Amino acid sequence: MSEATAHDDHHDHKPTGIGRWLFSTNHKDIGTMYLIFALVMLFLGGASAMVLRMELFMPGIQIVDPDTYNNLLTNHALIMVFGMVMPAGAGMANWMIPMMIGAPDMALPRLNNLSFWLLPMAATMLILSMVVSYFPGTGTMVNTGWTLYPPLSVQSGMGMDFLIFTVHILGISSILAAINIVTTIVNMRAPGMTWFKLPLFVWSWLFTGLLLIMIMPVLAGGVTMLLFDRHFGTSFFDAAGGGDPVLFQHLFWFFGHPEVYVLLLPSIGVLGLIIPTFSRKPLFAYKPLVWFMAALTALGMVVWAHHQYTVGMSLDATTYFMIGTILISIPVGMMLMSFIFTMWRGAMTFETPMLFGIAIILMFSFAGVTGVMLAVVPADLQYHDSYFVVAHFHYALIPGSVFGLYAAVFYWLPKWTGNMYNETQGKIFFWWTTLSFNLTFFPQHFSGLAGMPRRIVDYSPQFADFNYLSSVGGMLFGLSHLLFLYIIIKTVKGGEKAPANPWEGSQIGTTGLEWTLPSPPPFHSFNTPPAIK
Amino acid sequence: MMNENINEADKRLKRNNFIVAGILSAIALTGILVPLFYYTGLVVPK
Repeated sequence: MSEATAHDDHHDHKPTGIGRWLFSTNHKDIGTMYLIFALVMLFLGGASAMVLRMELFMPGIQIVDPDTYNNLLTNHALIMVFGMVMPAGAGMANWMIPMMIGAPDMALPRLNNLSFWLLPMAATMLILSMVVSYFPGTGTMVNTGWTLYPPLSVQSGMGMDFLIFTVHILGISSILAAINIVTTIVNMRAPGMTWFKLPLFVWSWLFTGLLLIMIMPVLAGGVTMLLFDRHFGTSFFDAAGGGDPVLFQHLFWFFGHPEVYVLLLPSIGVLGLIIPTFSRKPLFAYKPLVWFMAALTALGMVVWAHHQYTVGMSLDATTYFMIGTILISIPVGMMLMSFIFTMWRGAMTFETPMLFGIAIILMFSFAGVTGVMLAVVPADLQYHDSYFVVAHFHYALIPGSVFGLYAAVFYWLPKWTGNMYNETQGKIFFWWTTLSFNLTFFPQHFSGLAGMPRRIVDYSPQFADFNYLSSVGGMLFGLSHLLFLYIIIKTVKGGEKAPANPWEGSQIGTTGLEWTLPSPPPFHSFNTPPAIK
Repeated sequence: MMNENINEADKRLKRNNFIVAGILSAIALTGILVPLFYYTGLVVPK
């Protein structure tokens, strides 16, 4: 191992200038670009969310007109899902998977470059979809929400065409990245790195990659049909021409529900590293956890229509989707129990990644409980399209996915940069985000149960108190990310030097090879296959 | 001799990568083409 590292150090030459980034085939450089892109999108998506919360600070229309509100709402979702969480996960996969499995790089490095550089193109198209409606003769703004349901999406202005092409480009990027990651995991493992020695993060990305390959093309097909309905005289989704708008809902949610697991699984993989590290115990029930992930992937593919209970499906179909959805709580619950049992009687310490890890278990469980409530058809008929749903999915996606990314950033920053972050600042960031997150979204359960509809620019005065709290929380939550940015920049620029393995528990019960490399790792790592214990 | 082995292993790895990536690409293409072709039956001019 040490010989291999010395060899890598000796040949640690790297390209310079803009060409290093434009033509990069290096997994660490491409990973860094993904992460920077995701950080920029986090602020763009966050800024749009803060405008929405400012608008909802009190009843009445304050700062944006209804069309702009709906447009910002649509873009907030698309930016956060496609621009922030997915690229951040892909960036971490790029950085860590080859180092964990002892591979010199990704299986298809040029494809990796293409996957990344499609993203800025897609982001440009997305921004164009917002601004194009300010030009005369381009029709209305995109105001459909991220679900792009027809007939509204067929009637929207030219911005919708830009958005459809955005989805196409993002889809191509995701599919290519997923093919690359799965191929890397299947073929590039160092000799001796057998399947059940893989760190949980690698497993999580194997399932995420497979999901992406199966679902993204269906969305691409759906929006292509939408494009045809808009411009080429077809009527896939037009009842007057023999089509059916509900067909689009099925195509969208066939993608949309598994997409939730695409966002969640990498963070579950991160938990599988962080909880054992800071509990100083091997992961409890590693193999069953892998099977639970497989079960989650399989079940997640076949329950999509629980998003559409209210459209009038047959009783048999509704019953099937209800039971399937409730069944999902079994593998998810077992995963969370595995993490809790890992902590049980461990020598726990509470560094920033671990604090996020514990917060994820608590708050994601809460989303699980409201998820089961929403899965039950008669209850869902009451909650549907209310703020209760908004509260549920933000509890699922922010702790379940975004906090996992934050935990991973703090866990791996020392490895990526070679510098330790400031632990006190990390903890302040943790408490600031966690408290303000709960202040933002917890009251929304009550406004939802009291009947406040979602996707609405104005509301009845009876919901004012809950919305006031949500908006104050939202501002604080948004502002906390300035501290996050400060911590990252400060750590990148300098600080206490990080050893190869800054976390004493990180090697307990795992064969991941990332900690055997120095911090930061050499530009080219594992040119000679490492030895696996 | 050593170089020949490395070249052989490199070729084998590239072939395996091509096969796995090819299978995954075929799955992805099926995903986009099935809804497009299947639902073409529903297309009626407006």
